[in-house]
Amino acid sequence: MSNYSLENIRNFSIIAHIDHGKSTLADRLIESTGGLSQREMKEQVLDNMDLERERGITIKLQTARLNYRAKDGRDYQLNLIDTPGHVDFTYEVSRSLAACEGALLVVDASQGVEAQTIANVYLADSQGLEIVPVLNKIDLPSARPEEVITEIEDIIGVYAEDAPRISAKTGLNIADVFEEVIEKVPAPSGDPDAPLKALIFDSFYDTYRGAIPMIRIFDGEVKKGDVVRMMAAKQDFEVTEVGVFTPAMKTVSSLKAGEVGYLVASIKDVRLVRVGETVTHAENPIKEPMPGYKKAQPMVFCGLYPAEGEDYDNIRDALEKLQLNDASLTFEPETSVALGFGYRCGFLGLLHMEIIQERLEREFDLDLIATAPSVIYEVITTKGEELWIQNPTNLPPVQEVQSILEPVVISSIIVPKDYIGNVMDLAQTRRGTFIDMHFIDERRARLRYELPLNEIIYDFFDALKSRTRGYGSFDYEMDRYEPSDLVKMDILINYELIDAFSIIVHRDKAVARGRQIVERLKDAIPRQQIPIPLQAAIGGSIIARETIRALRKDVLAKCYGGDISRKKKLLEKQKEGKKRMRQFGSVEVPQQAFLSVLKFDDEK
Amino acid sequence: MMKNNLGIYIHLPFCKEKCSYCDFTSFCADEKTQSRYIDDLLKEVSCYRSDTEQRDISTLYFGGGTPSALSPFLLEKLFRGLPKQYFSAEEITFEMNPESVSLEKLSILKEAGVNRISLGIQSFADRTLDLLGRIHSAEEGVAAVHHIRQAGFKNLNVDLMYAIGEGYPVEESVRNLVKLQPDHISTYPLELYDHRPLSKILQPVDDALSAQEFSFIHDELIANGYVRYEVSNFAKPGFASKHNIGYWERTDYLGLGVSAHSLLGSHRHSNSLTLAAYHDALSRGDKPIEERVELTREDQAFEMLMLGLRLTDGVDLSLYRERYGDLSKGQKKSIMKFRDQGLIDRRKDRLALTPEGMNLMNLVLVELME
Repeated sequence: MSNYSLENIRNFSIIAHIDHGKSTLADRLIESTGGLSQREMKEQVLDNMDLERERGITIKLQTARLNYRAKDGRDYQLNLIDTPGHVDFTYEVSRSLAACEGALLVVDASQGVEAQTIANVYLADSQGLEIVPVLNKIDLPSARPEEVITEIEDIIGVYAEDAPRISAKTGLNIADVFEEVIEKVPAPSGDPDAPLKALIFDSFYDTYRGAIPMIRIFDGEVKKGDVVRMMAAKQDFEVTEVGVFTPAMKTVSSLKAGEVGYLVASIKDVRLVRVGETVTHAENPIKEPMPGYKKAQPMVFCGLYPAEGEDYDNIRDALEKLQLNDASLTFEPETSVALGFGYRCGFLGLLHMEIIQERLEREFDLDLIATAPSVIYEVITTKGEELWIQNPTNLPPVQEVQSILEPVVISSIIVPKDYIGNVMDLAQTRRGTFIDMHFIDERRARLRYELPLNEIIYDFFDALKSRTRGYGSFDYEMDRYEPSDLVKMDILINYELIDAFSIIVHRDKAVARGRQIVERLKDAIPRQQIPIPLQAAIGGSIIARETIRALRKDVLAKCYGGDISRKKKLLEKQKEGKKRMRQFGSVEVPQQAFLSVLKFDDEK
Repeated sequence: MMKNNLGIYIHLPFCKEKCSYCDFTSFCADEKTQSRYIDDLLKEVSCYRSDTEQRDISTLYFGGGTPSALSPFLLEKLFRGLPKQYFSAEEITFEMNPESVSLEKLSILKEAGVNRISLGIQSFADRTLDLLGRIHSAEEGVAAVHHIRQAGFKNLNVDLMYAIGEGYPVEESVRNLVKLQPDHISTYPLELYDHRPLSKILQPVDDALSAQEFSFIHDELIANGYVRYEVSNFAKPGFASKHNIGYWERTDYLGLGVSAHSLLGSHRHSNSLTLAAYHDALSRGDKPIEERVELTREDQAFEMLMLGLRLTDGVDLSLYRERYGDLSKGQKKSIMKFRDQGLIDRRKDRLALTPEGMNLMNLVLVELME
């Protein structure tokens, strides 16, 4: 930029609850500054990820430099730094926010403030950002701007009377948003002559140029030919290109303090340029990296298996490809008695898990079987060792376990007041500990609970939706690991322990879960010549039991001239089913039985 | 091999009323429709004339539907129209239901050469008969047996149904049946079909009750001098159904009439399922064949086991080897296992199921299937 001046730069992001119109507003802002035409937008920008468009959430960031001539006649460089809109990506959000001085808070003018709105505002606030409220969907007949303004002011404590009232969809009052950003968001500070200090807030992988970090420059300047250092990764790279997003990539001669852009430096792996990393020059480096860097830890795990065995290698290839763009996805090979060869994958959260599964199925055309999700437990042994366990089979014998700790989250639930009782019941059954409750207005309350992560990864969100007629909104953040009365529950079929069915479960939940599993197995295992006992056990004691009665009669009584072909087909079908069974001692267990226990489904 | 022997089955699909459980191809129709059907049937018979003329017809079977529902006039028309050769068969069976048994019809059958009657009594309890939608009473059932004997038929089968449901016990019916001394008894559990009205009223009977009722019937019949010769069939010595044994020994058979099935050498075929399609094909001068399947050697070998094991005498293994070669290693291993479990009995060179094995026949067959 020839007319570089910190005064004319504004760095901002957009925060919102799911569906409140964040992506639409981002699109509209880019389009209205002439970055791209609507058609180009569709082709170049938004096609990046169908899934995001469909689900109304942002997974990878959309960042753009917008050149805007304001009403005061001056030309501004407005850097929009998009944030992923979901709790799973809280850390990524916080880093994106750290790259900005302000945040547009988009609130749906009819829905009002929701759980995620608050969570995101807290995040922005803790980064010291100026919060600029915007009322979206003002064109809807159900819009109630005055009430929502009061809500924003009461709950969030931000003055909102002047908030632009817009429709991102129709483009109504979009210019007001730019003016508001210029007026409210502070210009960045920083010294272009100081040693280089830049923050990576996202990265992506380009097949030809390698991993490309997206950076915000706080001090100094970076240009082609510089040797830069990734301070946490402790690696140096020679810069071959710097540029900005328009949102298409465009090379510039340099990026200076206050600006946002990308750099290319033949970096092989996105894991070398993780979000939160500090970039400086190899020569004349800064002494301290920027605060707050942490490696994203997977919190939720599940096994992904090919529905067809021959897809095993294809799944690995696909996971590797996704990992190029997603440093937080982990996977390792795993073998299951029931499902064969597959991968145990780690995700930041439930949504992250769902997105990866969907992308594998959709973009790579894979047919997957996903096991029920689990969390990672911390086990302290009697020898004082600390183990991280996410597969129950790796749990040491009971006598060597001193304690087991499980992850606990702090959740925030917003519901209309008629459903408070239902939500409290739900939280109770999920081992929740009540923290507090505030009324947002005369209709809605916000409840906070401590909940074991284990209790919400299964089907909490669906349960919440069904108990609040879809009105409940939910958000959580990781809080801590806490000792808990967790036990390993085993399942025995005909007195034989079947590894694949073992789970780690809270002692209070064990009986109910054990009963559920043996009931499901009873339905899924066909009757055989002998009665088959099914047991759930903790250590040596049986906590639930079912018996599959012996098959007494299985014969086609009538088999005359016209019945023979039909009878043969019937037997062929039975034979097909039998091929998919696994033998445990004298008992045959169909794959369906494993799936009914292991598979992630909503059926209760 | 008796390649020359042929069984003939003739399907007479008409009923006065359709029973609430029945899933067979059967229709309620007026005399005119029935008469046209007999015409069509006789056309089909002539389509096969050149094939049948060269063979020995060993058995002839008229099944339904309710063959006895045909009027005396149509019965005579049918018998007159069929080739004389058909009536040279050693065993000629005709199915009847009690309500349509009359001395007049019986004498027409006798005259034509029918020597075996199969009577669909099903039960001797009126409330069970009501439930099943049968249009005869227990008393009529008993009377029908007397009429048949009176008319001089020396070979009588009675069908009996069991496993109808809790509250519909079979014991009394079995005792009543035995008193009538039929020469042959076929006994079937009630099967419920989703699309038939009875399935709306009754729950399927659990297999333990079905096994228990069958075991009662079995013991009662054995005690009264009957021999079980097939999964569902019992007979006084010398009275086993030759026609039906033909199905299980895979003798060729020609099925005539709507929905009838045939086994001719290495192929099976089945006829049109509707009267209209059946009529249209024959009007064009075509055989009314709906589906034709060529059986591979493997198909035939498995059928020999699947069907032969239905007989208490089981399968002649030397004949099996002669036709299809030795059993596979896997099959032999399974047979050893089932013998240890008491499901299979291997005597000399015959392979047969034990009574327990007959109850669990599908388990055995699925493993013997390659």
